[in-house]
Amino acid sequence: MNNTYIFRNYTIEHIFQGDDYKFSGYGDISIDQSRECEQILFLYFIPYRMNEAAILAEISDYYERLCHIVYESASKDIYVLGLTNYFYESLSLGDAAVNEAIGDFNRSVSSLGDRVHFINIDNFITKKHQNDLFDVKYYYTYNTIVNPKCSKEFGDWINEEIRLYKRTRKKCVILDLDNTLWGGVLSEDGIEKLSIGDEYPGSAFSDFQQLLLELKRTGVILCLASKNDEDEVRRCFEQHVNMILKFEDFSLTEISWEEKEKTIYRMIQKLGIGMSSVVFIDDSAIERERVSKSLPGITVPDFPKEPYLLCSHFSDIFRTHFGYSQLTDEDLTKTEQYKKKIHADNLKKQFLNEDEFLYNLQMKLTYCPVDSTNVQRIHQLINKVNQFNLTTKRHTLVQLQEENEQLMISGLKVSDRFGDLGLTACSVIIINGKHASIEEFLLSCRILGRRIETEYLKYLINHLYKQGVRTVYAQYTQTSKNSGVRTFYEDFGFELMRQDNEITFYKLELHTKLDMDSRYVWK
Amino acid sequence: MEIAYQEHNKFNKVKEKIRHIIRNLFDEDIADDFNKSKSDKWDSLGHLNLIVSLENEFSISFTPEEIGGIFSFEDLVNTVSSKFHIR
Repeated sequence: MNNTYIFRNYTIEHIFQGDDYKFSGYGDISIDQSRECEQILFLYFIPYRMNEAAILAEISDYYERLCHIVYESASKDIYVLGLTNYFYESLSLGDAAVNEAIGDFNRSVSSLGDRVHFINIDNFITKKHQNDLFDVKYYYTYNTIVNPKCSKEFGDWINEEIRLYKRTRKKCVILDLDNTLWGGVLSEDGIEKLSIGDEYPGSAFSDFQQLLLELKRTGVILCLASKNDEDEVRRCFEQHVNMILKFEDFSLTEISWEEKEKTIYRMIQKLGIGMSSVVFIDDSAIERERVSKSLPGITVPDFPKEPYLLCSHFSDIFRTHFGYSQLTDEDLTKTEQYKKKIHADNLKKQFLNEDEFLYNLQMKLTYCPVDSTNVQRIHQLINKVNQFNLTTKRHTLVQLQEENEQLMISGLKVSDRFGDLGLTACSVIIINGKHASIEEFLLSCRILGRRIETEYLKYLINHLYKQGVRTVYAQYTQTSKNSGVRTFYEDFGFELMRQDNEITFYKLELHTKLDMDSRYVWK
Repeated sequence: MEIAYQEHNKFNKVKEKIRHIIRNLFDEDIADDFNKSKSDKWDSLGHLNLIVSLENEFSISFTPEEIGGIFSFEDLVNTVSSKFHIR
């Protein structure tokens, strides 16, 4: 699989390593960067917060974000990981409301359309111990919900789920009769002595027939290929009181004493389907081997040794080969009303545009000149941030603490309606009379995709203007990791002066103050 | 004297094992003065991969302060050794 764009709200780089994956900023829903990718993965985890109202607000917001992404990304397949609060006990007091919100989100996903595919995270977590899934230490140090120690397993699992969706669904099951649909051999034991019905092992065969009927309900073709006498078989289906499948449930039946591989080949030709669309089920290992050897492409699963294993064995196999449409079919009936409701009332409202989304975040920005309380954090950012970093000049703590009137060092604190994101951007500017030069300008990836960078730069420039600065110089130094911000200064309105290998120089003449964006509140 | 020698031996074993782990992870030769600024691969993701590998290999657990305070091969060796009370 290549080129997956992942919308996410926590660190997942350790799960999906390599060039095939691209990531949004945390909580970022801007769609532009996803356009080049083949498919989209929406990977959100419920927030690690100690405040129920905030958790609930975020979860309902995730759905809006997902709607936005579905709406904006016209034709791509979108895979959505279900939410769960299994990773950690979110709040022991308020779990009921959180669980309900999670359930609402998960149920709504499949009603978003045919190209939105739901990945049920329960299938993964039931196999794991909670402590292995989440390590709060890595939450605090790396902002990640998935414990790095199971990141490979988790990534492999998601990729396998996506692969299952992509596999074309098979169309047909061809079944043997004796010891497959019932216990015993019809031509030897007679109708009365066959095991099917209430008592084990008959009950296991009944359940298996029920499972096959269920498969038929989702559009899978059932066929019979049996070495038997056709009249006797018909009589058996008609007369046996416990028989669940009826003879009419089978689209095509070939009952003769001919070799099975020949029979099956003819059946597949009659049906006009490919060999790879067919699953053949027979209890006899010899028949299975002959069929799979002479008919390449056909799927021939093992048959369980004991009847009680029939359903658990084959429901797994059916899920793999016939699975996903079954899920959408199920949703068609189960969630029909739900679907209508969502489309009518909510969807228009939910499909908000990006402007509205940013506005709804109610972001508050605080300009923080460097001081003893924040210098450590600014130092850390300057030496850590790679992606949104225009120059990637590293500085020592001493340089940042230098008392110099010409040096304007600042950080930016960001909060939104969900909580505090902390000091997540900073800059270093040198002022010399009417001239100023932006030495450093960088943002933590935590706040990417909110256009905070533009607002912060405007604020800085207005600040400079007030101090009499009329020309601002800036530069972009290319590194292996910051190509995403290559055109940042140009897009902002800077004039390109010259390019010197990997360094591009810009300037901006100031004539008046710049207008600030009303979506941000400055404190 | 004997005890000091054993200590020294253990320390070197730990050191070489760490060197080996980093070499496998970053595919680079690791000199004693190897540090973050000398490697493109030792970025924040590389750091996480490294921490997790060491935790698994040595069956130890780093504190968040330790994770944030490691910048060089030497830091790694000292931090891991301290878990085994060597030096």
